[in-house]
Amino acid sequence: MSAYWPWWASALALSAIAVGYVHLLGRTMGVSGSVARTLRYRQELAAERTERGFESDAELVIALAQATRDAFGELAPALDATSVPAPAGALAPARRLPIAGEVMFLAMMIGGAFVAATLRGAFAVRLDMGEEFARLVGTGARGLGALFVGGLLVGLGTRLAGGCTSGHGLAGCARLERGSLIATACFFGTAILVSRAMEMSP
Amino acid sequence: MTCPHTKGCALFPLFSQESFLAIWKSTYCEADYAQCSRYIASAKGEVVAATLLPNGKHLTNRPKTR
Repeated sequence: MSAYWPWWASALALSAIAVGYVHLLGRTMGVSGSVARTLRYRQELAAERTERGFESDAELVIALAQATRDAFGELAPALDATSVPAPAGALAPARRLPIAGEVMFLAMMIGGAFVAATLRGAFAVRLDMGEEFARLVGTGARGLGALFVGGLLVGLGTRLAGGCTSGHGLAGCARLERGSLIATACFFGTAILVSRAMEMSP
Repeated sequence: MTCPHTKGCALFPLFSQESFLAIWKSTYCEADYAQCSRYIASAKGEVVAATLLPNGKHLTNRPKTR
């Protein structure tokens, strides 16, 4: 039995996740972004506290109208704040998912992997990366060091590129965003080249 | 030059959609965005609350009457 799902099942699952995330939450998925937000949860909670007073976009627009008059005085267009039209969810795409939602998303991702592996009878706790990794990279301190440096580089690249395999590869490519197509081509292309080079090394 | 962070800005859609808020857009987003508190915070990788205004003040949930 293959260690992986059939390609079509994986494709269906990933498509459902990418489309479902946008449909349900009104924003694109990005695991690295979720991790980054979770790591700075104190700032996120502080921001949520300041936004708590505005339950709707209309309330925010009314407050903005007042703030505009305060900031620009006579230069601000005159308006009656009570007649400000509701923007009908204009802010929804830009609003952040509550930090609790991000934590839940990450937890469910780990939980989902656990359930999938358990259902296939493939779940096992292991402290090594497998025979192939040991052959190509090494074991012990060398293997751990390579993993650590690799993780640092992946994190750096993810932040520089503004996304990872989920944000660019799944969500961005599905939306045919140019930056995501370029980013995905770069990191998958690099991965293929590096793995080929390592396979050919003695 | 337009602010490079408009895509992720919570307020830019409103500045673009509501004519009475366009003065923020013309003053900051499309002009002096380097002075925008939202841009400065975003460029530092900080969390930018939807209540933070480009001039550094925060919106209050009790609109004043005049």
